[in-house]
Amino acid sequence: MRRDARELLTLLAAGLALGLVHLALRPDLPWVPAPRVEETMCGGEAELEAPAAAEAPVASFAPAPPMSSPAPEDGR
Amino acid sequence: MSQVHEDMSDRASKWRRGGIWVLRLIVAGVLLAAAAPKLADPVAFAAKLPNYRLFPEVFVNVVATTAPMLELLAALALLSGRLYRGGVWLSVGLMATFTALIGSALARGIDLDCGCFGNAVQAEPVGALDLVRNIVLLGLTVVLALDLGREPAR
Repeated sequence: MRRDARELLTLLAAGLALGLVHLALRPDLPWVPAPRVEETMCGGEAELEAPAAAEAPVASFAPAPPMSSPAPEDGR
Repeated sequence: MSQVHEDMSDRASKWRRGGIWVLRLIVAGVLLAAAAPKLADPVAFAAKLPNYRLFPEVFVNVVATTAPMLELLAALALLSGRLYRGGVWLSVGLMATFTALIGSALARGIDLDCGCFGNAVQAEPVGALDLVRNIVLLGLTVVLALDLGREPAR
């Protein structure tokens, strides 16, 4: 069992080292990628989040219209 | 009488060893087929990883180059017999991880291309068939792992 673990760790270390070397040798793959637009199968490029300010209602400080009380027949 | 028993036991052992070799070839072949296109075009594979919504952005490119290397090493270990026991456990770990990733994407209803074989196959949304395929492959690697207990390393 100890031998299994040692061999597994050897392979994991070798894979990690080779992977890092491969990454270092690829100039088109930066170590830390830039944030990217999410891709899904159905929508092509989906927008991650619409700008919040674009859809938010314009703030108004005008007094709100009074809330109407329910008509008597609504309570029945 | 004992001669007959020995002959039968030898024959069964040969069949078992043959079966294990076939399993080794199948698992190693699948791992090689999965690793080669990803090693050839890691950029395309890296573009698919964020769709799983599991990897932090900073690790995406490291995973994109490391995972196919691990697949390649596992395949070579299974084929060559060098570090065979480690290769079997690495195959089990890789298959279990891939199965969990596909299952998690299916459970969350994410319609991503799994990227399992890089760009070697046409991109299709991940489905139950992919999950079944991975479970079968995981089963094959588990059989190889169970066989480790029967026979010393070769």
